[in-house]
Amino acid sequence: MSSAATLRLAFTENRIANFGLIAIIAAWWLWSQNLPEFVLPGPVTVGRRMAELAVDPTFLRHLALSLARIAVALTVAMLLGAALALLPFYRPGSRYVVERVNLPFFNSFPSIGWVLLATIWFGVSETTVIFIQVAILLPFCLINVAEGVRVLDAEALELGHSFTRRRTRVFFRIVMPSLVPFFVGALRISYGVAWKIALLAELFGARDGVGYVMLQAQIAADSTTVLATCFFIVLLFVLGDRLVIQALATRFGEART
Amino acid sequence: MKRAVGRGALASQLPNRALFWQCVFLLGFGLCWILAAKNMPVYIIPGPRAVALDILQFVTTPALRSSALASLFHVCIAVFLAFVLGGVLASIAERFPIFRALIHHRISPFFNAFSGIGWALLAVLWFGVSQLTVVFTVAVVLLPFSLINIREGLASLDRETLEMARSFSQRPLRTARLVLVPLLLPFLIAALRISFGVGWKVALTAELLAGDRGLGYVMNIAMQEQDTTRVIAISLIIVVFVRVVDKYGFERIQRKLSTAFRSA
Amino acid sequence: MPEPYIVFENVVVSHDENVILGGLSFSVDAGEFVCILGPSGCGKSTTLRLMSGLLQPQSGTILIDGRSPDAAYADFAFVFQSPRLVAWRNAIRNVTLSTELRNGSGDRSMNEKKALELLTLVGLAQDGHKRANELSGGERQRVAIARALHVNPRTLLMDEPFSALDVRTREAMRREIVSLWEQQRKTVVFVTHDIDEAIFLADRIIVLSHKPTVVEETIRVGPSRPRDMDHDAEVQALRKRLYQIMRDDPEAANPKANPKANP
Repeated sequence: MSSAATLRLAFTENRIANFGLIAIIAAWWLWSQNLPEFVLPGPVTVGRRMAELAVDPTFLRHLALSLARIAVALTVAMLLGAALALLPFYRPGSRYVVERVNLPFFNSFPSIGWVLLATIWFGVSETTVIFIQVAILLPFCLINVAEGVRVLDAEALELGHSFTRRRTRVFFRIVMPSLVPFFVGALRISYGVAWKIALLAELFGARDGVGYVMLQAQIAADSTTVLATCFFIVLLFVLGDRLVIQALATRFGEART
Repeated sequence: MKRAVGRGALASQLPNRALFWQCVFLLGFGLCWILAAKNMPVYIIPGPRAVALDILQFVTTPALRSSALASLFHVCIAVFLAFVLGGVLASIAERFPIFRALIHHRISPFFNAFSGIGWALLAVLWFGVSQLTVVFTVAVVLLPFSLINIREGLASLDRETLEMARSFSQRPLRTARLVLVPLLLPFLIAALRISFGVGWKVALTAELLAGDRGLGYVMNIAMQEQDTTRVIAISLIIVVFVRVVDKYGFERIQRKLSTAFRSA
Repeated sequence: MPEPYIVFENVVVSHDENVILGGLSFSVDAGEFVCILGPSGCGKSTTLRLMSGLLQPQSGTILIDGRSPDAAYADFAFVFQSPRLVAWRNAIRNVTLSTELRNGSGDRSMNEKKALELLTLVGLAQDGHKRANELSGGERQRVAIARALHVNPRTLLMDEPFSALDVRTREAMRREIVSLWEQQRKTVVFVTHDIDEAIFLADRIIVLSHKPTVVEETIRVGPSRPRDMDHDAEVQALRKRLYQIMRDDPEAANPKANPKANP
């Protein structure tokens, strides 16, 4: 295919994508015409609600709160995941315990199990929310960083040891920089999971945050607010992913596993 | 085994040493659990014995057994639906490139970014508390996983092998069955494997929020009755079941496939 | 007569039941350019790693100026067979990495100024801001040499540093390392399996045997530098003699691997 033809195809592709999007929204609008608003509100109604929420300080506070919780949980999960992933590197005997016991356990433990246990243990509190989110995010961080540790370049490490006998220097100048792309990969996946699944924590463990807002709206059969909140989450997810994580990925490189 | 000397002895014992640490870890964990359970009321931390007995209940009590089967049913149907839908979308994008941007740059990211919790709450409003709600939620959360994996498989297809197939047969179905599907198989299995793992987590959540049966539903009741034992029992059942299926099902199939492909 | 700088005495290294070094003894004087020559897989790299304390022997003594290798490790800087540049730093920062590892962060602008001087010395004055993947194989190895020099070591340990390069680059690098050595007069211990390389570079060649490795012979190289590899009679005689010592080694005797070997 000539480059002009490729260009033309890309152009058509994009036009079709945008028309397709409009068509989907139109279909949504048509469908919503015959359904009561509490079941499926139309795009206009949802759009209007989003505009209202966007200037509503209470809602913005909920949104900021959720974002802050996710930030804290991500930080804790990353640190914990990195520590666990690095353990076999410094204590080879622990490899089996980390990779064959801890990782599969956290990876297959149902999220809702953590939610219920944390609610029982800590009641409605920040601890509950953070605990649940960390427990859900931990395996994603651990898998990525552990992969980075596994492929650590033995030659680069030997280079480090040939110049210094201090392990901390080798750690900060060789080990950590090698792992950065894996941290970025872990961050991207965990950030997505945090918005999609870990919000669950706010349904049970909190009296605020967007998870709570959604649950209240659902109980009130307010589909409009549920949908509007969902779209806000999509927006926040995409913004964070494009602005922060994409920037990190271009700056430091990204490894996906 | 030859007798090892010096450093060699250490090296040959390494697997045993790992096993030793694994046992130490598990024993320590068990001990901590028992100690914690001794000093805490049952509704906060039940002992391992109580949990083990409760797990046994799921084998002996028909009602519990059927709720476990209901969950399995939900997961399997949803995995299947997401797989088929993802496959159809990925194939359309592959066959008609003009739809590529719509599917991979609009639809797929949207589903990928949409909150699973949001789907569950919406599905209750749409379909009420029912099995349909559960299956819908799980399927729609799994859709982007299937779509992305199958897309990757299609993108990595070996054009030359496909051309070889087409040179021998004019029938698309036959070339698909004999060449296309075998080429795609590793990616299809990978898609199923990821979906199955994630599907369980989502399914329990959906059942708890919106189900009228299944393990998530049982968990919901257990929570209301402050029956922590049951919550832990169900969680552990899931851990073991998902792990066993993953290790002895999917992993084994993948290993077989990869050796088969290497020898080709 | 002063004590030699590096002393190996009856050094034994074994891995499992496999004896690699079977009682190795030799010495290196300060300021000397020594080549360790031997068939591939005979433990030449092991010897270098022992010197800088990256490996411990099972028995025997190694003394560096009267100290143990672990105490004297800061005397050495390694140049490995592959350049081992790190991908996340540009050439200048790759050069300063060695000093940061050895002495901590220090004065960054001072470090970088010195790095630039060293890059100029190895002919890469213009390439300081390139990343490893933008440099050719020879350029990367030059950066690695600059990195080793940045810690201002008493001794350079070079582990077949040119063997992965193409023939032209390899010859250019040999000439450069000789002129570097003539300027700085550091002790150089250079491991190679290439007879011509050893003859071209060394003051003295230590020839190792097959495993379990011992010193086969130590030969002083007479002719003054730069050595004429094609016409100097002494070089020809030395080459012949080394081939006889090492004739069991297929790689060194393989004319394809070593095009100059064919008369």
